[in-house]
Amino acid sequence: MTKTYSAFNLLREGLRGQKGWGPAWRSPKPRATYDVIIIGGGGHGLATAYYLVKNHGVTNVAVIEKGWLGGGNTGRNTTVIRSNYYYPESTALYDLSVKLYEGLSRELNYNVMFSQRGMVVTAHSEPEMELAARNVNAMRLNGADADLLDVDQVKKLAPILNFSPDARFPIHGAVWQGRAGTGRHDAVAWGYARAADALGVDIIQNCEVTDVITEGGRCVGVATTQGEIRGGAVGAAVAGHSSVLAKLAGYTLPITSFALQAFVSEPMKPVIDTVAFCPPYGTYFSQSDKGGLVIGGGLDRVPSYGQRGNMPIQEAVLGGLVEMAPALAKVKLLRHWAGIVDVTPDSSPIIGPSGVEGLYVNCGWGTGGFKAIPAGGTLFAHILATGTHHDISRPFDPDRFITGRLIDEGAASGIAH
Amino acid sequence: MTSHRVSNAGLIDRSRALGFTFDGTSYTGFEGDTLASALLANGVRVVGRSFKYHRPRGVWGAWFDDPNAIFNVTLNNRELPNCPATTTPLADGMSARSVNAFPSALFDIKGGLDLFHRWLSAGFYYKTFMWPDWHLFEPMIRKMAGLGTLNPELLDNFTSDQVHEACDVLVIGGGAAGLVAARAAAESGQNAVLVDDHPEMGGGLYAAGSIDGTAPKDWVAAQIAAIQTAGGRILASTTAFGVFDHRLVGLVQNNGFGAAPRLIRMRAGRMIMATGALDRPITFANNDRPGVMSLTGASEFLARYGVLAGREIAVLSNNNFAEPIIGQLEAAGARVLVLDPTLGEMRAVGRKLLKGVEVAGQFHAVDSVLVSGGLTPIVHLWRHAGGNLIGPTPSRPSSPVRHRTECSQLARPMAHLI
Repeated sequence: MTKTYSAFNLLREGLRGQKGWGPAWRSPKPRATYDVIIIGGGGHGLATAYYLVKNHGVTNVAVIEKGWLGGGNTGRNTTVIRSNYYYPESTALYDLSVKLYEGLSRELNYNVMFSQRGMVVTAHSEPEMELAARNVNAMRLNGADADLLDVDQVKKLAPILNFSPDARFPIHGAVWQGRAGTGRHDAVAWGYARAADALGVDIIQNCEVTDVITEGGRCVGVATTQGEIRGGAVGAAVAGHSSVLAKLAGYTLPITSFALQAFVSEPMKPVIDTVAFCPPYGTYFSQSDKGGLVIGGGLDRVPSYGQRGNMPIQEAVLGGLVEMAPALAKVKLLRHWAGIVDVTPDSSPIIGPSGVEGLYVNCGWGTGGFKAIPAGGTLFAHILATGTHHDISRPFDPDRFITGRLIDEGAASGIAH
Repeated sequence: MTSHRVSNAGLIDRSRALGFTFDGTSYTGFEGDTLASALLANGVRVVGRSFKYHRPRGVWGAWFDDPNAIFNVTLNNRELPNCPATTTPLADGMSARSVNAFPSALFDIKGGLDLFHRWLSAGFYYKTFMWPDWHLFEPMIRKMAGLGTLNPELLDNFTSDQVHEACDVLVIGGGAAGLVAARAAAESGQNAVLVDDHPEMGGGLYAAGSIDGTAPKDWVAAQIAAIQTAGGRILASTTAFGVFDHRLVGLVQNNGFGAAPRLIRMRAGRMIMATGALDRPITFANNDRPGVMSLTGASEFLARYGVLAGREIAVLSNNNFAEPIIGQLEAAGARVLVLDPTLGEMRAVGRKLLKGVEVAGQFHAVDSVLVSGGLTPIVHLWRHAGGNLIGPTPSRPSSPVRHRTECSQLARPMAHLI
């Protein structure tokens, strides 16, 4: 059986009908007990399982997923990877992710197509340019890359944008992060799944958690549609459904769930090489390798678990897109969907103990979970293996909502939730 | 010999000839043609290339189910990318270019990629392009991907009004079932609106030949008159693209080529989805060759546009819908050979031009293969509205089940599979 993915093996397999590849991961029946159980088979859950084995040598690990791998927000996002945040705590977290993404394809032996095509965040007035300069300086001080661009530099990078002085919001310049880019979202889940499975992790799909089992106030396992599974530590990485799981287990999280909608256009020959975000329009877009424009905006303002789009947001986001890049008015939309995002009061994630002993949470990523998958996996694995925080995850412990040491990136870097 | 125009069939107006070009060659069609039907009438077989291997592709279906005839189209200096030729009404002076093929669909320099298909299997790119780095390979792959080309020029006056509307009953689909439903709703005093994405009502009736003993054209005209007399409204060239919360239906109305379509937000008291069905393909080797077409698609091309798919036609069908269509094809002058797929392996022979079909080692010289794998009800909107399906069972495809009072899906009676 051919295990390693390489050009050479691809050529060799081509000569025998590609029949020598084994399945990328097994479909095992759940065992009765594991050292660690991870709820949620998306990017964060699968990455956590991989790093548990690789960084901590914890091999007896199960990932349980109610649907299919990467079928939640990992399969629904707009694939942007960046670390252009404001606070040092955030930069440490998100830049760890970008660094890990930079070597991920080779590490996992799976091409996740991290494409560092850069991201422009436009500024539309002189005061906004002042703020942009402040953001660039903050990012550089925190160790991430950032540049302040004038309007001509933006024009060179993304000529399709609206540079007309008559635009609703004329472009004055932009913050540029050259190391930012996009990744092949499904491949991130599949790559981690394959690598984790090869290291002995059991990935169990179609296995929904129906209850959390506690004994003497401590979480000792979960009841699922495939029977009871017990574990030494349980980690939950279930994004928009974190509050649903919290209700089952009897802890509370400062999380509100909203739908976040996204769009893909018909495939075209390349029209833009970067990720472009114009904050006043509330719209951003990039172009996938297949040629479709991947378009996103702000989240719905009504709490919901309904994974479906609606027309008001459609109008807001696409209206913004057409004003942002008028040539796109004639482009046809192909798909439109929604995912459920878990939003915290300070727009930063929650990583740490849930409040029920033995049960840990990795959630609150809101609209920005995909970019953080390698870092979230690394930090969550550290917590599940050692019971203590990694230096980078400590500021994101839920105790910040008691101490008041919030990391308010909603205010600081103006993220869309 | 390939597809051609026959003299007496169709809804087209033969007194109004329209000139157009495809990949630089001039052709003539008629008022009422689509770009695809006009090309078939001129015997054009190769209309595009497959996305990855650049295999030659021909027209498969007659309406939105066709995946192959996708063109960059220019009319009056207004260029739009990725226009499906089967749903683009022909206009005088149109110029169409195949997408992702150079210099033309017929002679594509990347056609040789097909020779490497054994190494470019599904998902091959996840297994390679990692060393030294993905960036080395990505720009070339990006250039090869994508379909049409976006002309960055801005179109002046490319705006349209947005309309907020409401009705008691919204009927989606203007075939026989939809027309009758809209008429009944309107005549019962309700505010009824009927939408269909074709320029004319009638759906599959034209291909059916007759209804209630009258010609489809006359019967459809009578229904339309009755609906309008009773106060009902009809929106042609209008696609329902989504059923959102609180019975809000998104409708997009085509305002003609190069004009911005109109967005209608329709708040419907009740919805009746009379959306018809699609013919399924059947798998066999080289079933994507130009000249292999959907049987119901071919029947639509004949009935609506007077275009016959070929002269020597092989029919491959697993259901009893094929018989009347075979009769129509023969009446239009084709010789039809009915294939028995149970005899053994089958493959289409020929590359750009179909030479024939081989079944269980026996070769039959034909210029077209028409395929019907049975009908699948069109339930996209129904599913979007949260409707459920039962099935499928081995003998029938899945079909809708009633799940909510304000929404009904009318399913066409299923073919009996052989």
